[in-house]
Amino acid sequence: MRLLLLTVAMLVGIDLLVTKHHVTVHAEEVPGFYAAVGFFGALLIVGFSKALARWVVREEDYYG
Amino acid sequence: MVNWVPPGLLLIAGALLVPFLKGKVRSAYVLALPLVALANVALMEPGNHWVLEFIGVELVLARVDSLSLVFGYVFAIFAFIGGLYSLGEGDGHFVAAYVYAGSALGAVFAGDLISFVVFWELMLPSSVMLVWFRGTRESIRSGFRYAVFHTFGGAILMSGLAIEVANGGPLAFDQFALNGAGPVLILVGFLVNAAVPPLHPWLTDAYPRSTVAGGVFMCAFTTKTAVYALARGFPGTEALIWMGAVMALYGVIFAMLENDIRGILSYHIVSQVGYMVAGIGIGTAMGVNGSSAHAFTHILYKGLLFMGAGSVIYATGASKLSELGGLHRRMRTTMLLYMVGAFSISALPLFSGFVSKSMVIAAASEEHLLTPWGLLTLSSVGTFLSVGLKLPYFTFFGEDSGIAPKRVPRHMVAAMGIAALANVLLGIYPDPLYRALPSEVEFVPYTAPHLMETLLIIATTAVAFYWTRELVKGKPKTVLDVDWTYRVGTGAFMWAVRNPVGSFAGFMEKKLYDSVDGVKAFSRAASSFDGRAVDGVVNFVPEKGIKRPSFFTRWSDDNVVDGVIDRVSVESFRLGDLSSRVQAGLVQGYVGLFALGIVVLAVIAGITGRWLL
Repeated sequence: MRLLLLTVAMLVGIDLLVTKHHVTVHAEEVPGFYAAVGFFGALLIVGFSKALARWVVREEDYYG
Repeated sequence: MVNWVPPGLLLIAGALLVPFLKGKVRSAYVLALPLVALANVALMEPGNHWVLEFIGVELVLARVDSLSLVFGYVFAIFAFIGGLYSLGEGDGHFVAAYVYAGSALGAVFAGDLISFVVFWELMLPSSVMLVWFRGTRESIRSGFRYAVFHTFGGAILMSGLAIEVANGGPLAFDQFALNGAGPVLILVGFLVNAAVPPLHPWLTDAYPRSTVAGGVFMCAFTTKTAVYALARGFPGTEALIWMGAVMALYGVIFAMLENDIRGILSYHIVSQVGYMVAGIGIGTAMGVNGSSAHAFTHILYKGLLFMGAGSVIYATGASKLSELGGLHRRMRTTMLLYMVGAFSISALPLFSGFVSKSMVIAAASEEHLLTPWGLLTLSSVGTFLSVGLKLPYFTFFGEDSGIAPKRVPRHMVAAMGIAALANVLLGIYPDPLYRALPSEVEFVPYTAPHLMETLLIIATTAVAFYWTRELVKGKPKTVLDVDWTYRVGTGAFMWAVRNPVGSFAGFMEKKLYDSVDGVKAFSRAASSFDGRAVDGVVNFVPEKGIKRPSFFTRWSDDNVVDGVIDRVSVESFRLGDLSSRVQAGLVQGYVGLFALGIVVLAVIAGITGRWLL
């Protein structure tokens, strides 16, 4: 886990040096923007699926 | 160059010979057949070939252009890989799988709507066999649902085509102008096979229940033929951008809840096809190219993932994350090959998805489609989260299930190896694929920002997974999807048929039988009158000495009186028979009502599905 976090830190560091020419949204120009996309995107997907589970997840033999 | 046989027909006709071969000859034959089809695709020159006159209609069995060739190549290549993977399967599997693959090839090379629809429909009966061969109660029932759903989709497509042709539309399969009911119904027919929610549950219901080798074939052909059909018929249809973007995320979210490993992969077919549908909707050269390229790589990496998951199921007999775990030491080769597929679908640099998925996202960005671009980017996070992390973690690591897996046969490993190699080669050197795309577009996937973007997403998604892994682990549960509407909905419908409708039918049946009883009683009375009174009189007369007329009276007795009386009894029994046939007619009525019910439910599902999204 330490190694993974170190990798993320390194990648954000490298990201500072990369110049972006074609951006879709201005936020992309912020170094490490995609770090936030990955991390919060994953949490958002987990959170949303967990919220949805209440409605769509049933016992294994639901359909008999 | 000679175009000996249309490649689709070659594979279909060739498939029918498999049952006559045995042993090594059979193995060699099933491997050679798709390779011959591949050579056939490669040797065809651009243009229309195999133009046949049929009942005054021009059929084009081989329309060869860059769009049909991209799909044709990958279909033929994948038929070989799938054939190698399923070398241990029976004759039935090969007949079904190759007729299925051949129909898909036939459909992408069909230049007119009639031969297109014939090949398109032939994919249903051949593919449903790949579900039924599994032989479990679940897979048989699921296969029926799959068949009914596709019959429904096929009927929509056919009615659309009928309207279009009746309105004087051309029989050639080209881009449709989206006006009027005809093209809309055709589009819906295509969307069924592209598994666009809420028309997708046939896929996520049936694919996890197919045979191990059957699933490998299924994941490649049906949806990608539909992607081809959309790219051919409806490029630049704006609604497709939104459908595609939403379905990319829909698949990702439902995959998080799935427990079955091929169930997870099935939802990721829905998700990945979403990118292709969106690219076609964008409709620019970059968009359609991106969709075609993504379909090409998708077949190779999704096939690899299904082969990897299939090997796990083959070796362990278990298919659920909650029953698997800790297999990394015992199934190292399978795990490594699976991970190549997982890295490809997650679009990691040096793997195939990297060079194709980014084209669709770039197309959305070029057209300033911010929301679809955001949804597609977010979906790519979810792809790595479940296919790249959740599935392999809980299958190969996590809590040790203690299962001692069987050895995976060499031909299965070899097939996965070829697919893995193809994915890596395309990831490193995509130029041959780019050159084969429908339009000439300059696209450079390996740029510093694109590399950074991908690596950052991958690394931080891994961090998020590490912290939430206990939350997302597989649980032995059922996930309700749109199929709930017809699985539970038809149950309620059948209850209504059995109870209110059924009791009315029972009442009518009793009435009918009562009236039949009356006729029968009359016939019995008439028969006894014939036997006693008429025969008595007729037989009595000759005794009185009148000899000559006896012949006539006997004749009239035998033929007229008996005839009438026999007739009455025969008719009354026929009436009884008829009433039982009316019963059977009621059964057909149930079936008709059932079909109507499915249509109504599908419409309801359509409306509520849209609303829920």
